[in-house]
Amino acid sequence: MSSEFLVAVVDDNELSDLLAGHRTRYGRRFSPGAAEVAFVPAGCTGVVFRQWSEPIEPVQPLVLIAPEEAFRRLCGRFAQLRSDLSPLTAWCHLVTPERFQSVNSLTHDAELRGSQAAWAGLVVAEAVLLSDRPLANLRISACLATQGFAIARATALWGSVSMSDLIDRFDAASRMFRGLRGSQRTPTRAAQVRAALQPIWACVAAATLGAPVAGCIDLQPVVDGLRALEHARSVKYAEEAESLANPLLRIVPEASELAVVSKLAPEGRLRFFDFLMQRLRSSEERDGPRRCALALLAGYTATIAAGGAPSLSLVESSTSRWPEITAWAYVVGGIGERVTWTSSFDGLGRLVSREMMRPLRFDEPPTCDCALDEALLLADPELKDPLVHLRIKQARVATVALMPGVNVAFGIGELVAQEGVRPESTQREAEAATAGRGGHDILAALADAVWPYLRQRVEDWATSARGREWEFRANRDKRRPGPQPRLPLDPKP
Amino acid sequence: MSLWWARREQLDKYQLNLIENLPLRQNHLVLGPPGSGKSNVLLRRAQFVRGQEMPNVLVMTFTRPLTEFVKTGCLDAQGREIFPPNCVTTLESWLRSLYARHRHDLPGEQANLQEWKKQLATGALVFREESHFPLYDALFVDEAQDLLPEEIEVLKQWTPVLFFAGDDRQRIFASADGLEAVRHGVPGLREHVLPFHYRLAPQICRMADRILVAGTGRSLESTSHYEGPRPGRICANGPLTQQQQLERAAARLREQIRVYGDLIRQGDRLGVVVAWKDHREAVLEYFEADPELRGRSKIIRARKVDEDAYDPCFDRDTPICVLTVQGCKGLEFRALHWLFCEELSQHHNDEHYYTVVTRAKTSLDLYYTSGLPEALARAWAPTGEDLW
Repeated sequence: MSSEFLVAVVDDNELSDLLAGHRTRYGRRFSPGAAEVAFVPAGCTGVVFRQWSEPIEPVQPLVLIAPEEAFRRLCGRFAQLRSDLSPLTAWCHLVTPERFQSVNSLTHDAELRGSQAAWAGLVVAEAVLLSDRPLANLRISACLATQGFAIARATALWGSVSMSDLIDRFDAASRMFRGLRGSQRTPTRAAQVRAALQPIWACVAAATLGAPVAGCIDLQPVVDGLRALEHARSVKYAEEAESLANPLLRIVPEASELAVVSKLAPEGRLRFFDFLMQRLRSSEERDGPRRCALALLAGYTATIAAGGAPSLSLVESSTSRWPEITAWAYVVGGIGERVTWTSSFDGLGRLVSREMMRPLRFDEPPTCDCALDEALLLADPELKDPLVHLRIKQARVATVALMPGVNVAFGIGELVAQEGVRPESTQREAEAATAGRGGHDILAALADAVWPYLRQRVEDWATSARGREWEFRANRDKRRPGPQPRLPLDPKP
Repeated sequence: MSLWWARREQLDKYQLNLIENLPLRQNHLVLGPPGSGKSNVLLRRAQFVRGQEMPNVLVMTFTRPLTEFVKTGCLDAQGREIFPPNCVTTLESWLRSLYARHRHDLPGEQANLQEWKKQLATGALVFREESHFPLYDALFVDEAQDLLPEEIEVLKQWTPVLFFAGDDRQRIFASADGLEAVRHGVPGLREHVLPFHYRLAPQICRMADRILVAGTGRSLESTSHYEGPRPGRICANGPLTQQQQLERAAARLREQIRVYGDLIRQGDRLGVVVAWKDHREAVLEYFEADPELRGRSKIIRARKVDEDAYDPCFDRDTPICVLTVQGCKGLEFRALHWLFCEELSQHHNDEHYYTVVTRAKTSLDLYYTSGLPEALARAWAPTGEDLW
């Protein structure tokens, strides 16, 4: 049975029919940049759908194209009138005409122009900094839940995107799913890491796209340095340190030493690293291009400190105060590296890169639980379960599309557990349970109090080999035949 | 990551050939310069032979530190056991076990270690005839240049297949006849040469080349495929009092622990070599008093009889290994510090100097009180210093 992809611009009634699988007489064969969807009139929706050669088969809508301001009406309407189809974005892409115009085919490729290894390093660094875990204990899920991953993926799919908009969307999703309430601010560590990484995201994005740095032209020397380093490595230029240093001289004169440092033995390089750290500490600027460039120099020096081999343990001691040095070290290691399927970052690099570069398939349903725009509309904080209308069918994680194809996984209620703050509903349940016990169950209260601290360890143990073995034994014991229990309808002896 | 080459693609074609393609029932001798992978080939060959329905094998080395080092190669990068660590032992431990299994008393202790080793081996020559124990399928002996003829005779009694690895330039025990004893003692011995080495920075190669010519006939520098940290460095520190030497070594070690942190996590170590056994304790005590080095050093030596408290295993948390010239045989260190290096120089020959210098992979610090020993002074000089 063959199929073809058609596109149509339809009104509300026709859309209802199409979404229910009925055929339409307006469909035309889809071609990239179809004029039909370049401008979608108010009250109408563009639809790309798959139609099978067998007339009895329903058509399958795959992409809804509507202006951003129409998303709310569209999703709200179906949530009210056809709730069996809601949320729409669980099974159908939702994009604006402008964005869909830039799509050259129903398989939209991701493109990072050779900087995917650097982005992968940046994502892994953020996950390391946020989780405060060594690389070996880090899971891919932690990497795919970072802001850096969202930015890298959005850049790969859609080129230049507004970073502040994307971060706002990340925060909105975070508040909704992780359980942080509106009045609460982002946790301190996350805020500190974000502040440190924002200039790096901007610089790496600018270096990737060959564009000026969004929002801070003063960072341009850093971008130029990154590009020069990438070029030096691509032509295997021996004096790559000099290439990196030259553009930085404008804002960090200390960079002139870098060319000499690369000729020193490891012990000498260590002294330069310590010198840079001392300069960073004495730098009066809390932010700004000089601090950013000094951190880049320190990060780069850490990657060559052991005589050309990295010494990332050097930056570990300064991670809490200078997270950007760790981030730069992870980025710099990937600059110019085209082979991303090696076991870099303990095997995480290739997995992050794979997910960043995965094509967005408009000819298939999305792989997220829902899009953020629809989630914002359907979530109701007044309800006992605010997410009930989203029909999330995963136990602990919701995968949310911040933009089409930019899927980020959020642990449901994660921050509530981390911060020791419970949503009101959970709190009420706990209070009721405590009341039921007469409020005297000190052990239960103690268990509740320590659970946020134990949770991660318990989860790690459960996924460990020992945990799985324990589970296997427990299940095996359950299956072990015992004495035949008395059936409920058996007469009592 | 392990410092051992456990994966096939990490080995060169010469090494692979020695591991997989040699006839199983022949005696072999593998020669090669420091860092050419002799110990690695020996261990992987033993692993290969065990898989050919010849499981009763034993890998033997000369010193306890080297045995412990070889044991670190019994695990792959994921920490899985690929060769039984209990099948790695020192030659002396094995000889002692022969006495125990055949219920014979050990020969009386002698002041001269070499004489005692000779007696130990000679005494063990009578066990085979009266023994009920089966022969080994194969015995593998590292650092074969230090074997005594009597030890070779015992080895021959207990297996039809002997596999040796050695290098005459790294001979530590003066009384041994070197590899000539192996060649004469083991008929039908097939010799193989590993032409390349991978461990030593060019600066270290050049210094070693000025002490002895490598067994391949080519200089270490010309056969080097070193890919480690660059540039390597050599530094002579002196004249300094012993206290000053310790201070300077501690300062360098503090830096090296930091800058080689990642490599240390992957199994690299820092070595501190002294001439006298008593100096080991003094050096350890000094490092333990340093807040940044406390708990990071360990003396590597043989375990004494009935000594349970001392564990000779290498430990990643204590990357600084303090040991004697004899103890460093067969080992490798990212950075090596030879303290009080003129001590016992009257007993040190060129093979000793060659052996110690080639334990350093990237960085070598020599410390002296009055002057560098002649062999070291002729092998290295600082460059670019103002003559006047």
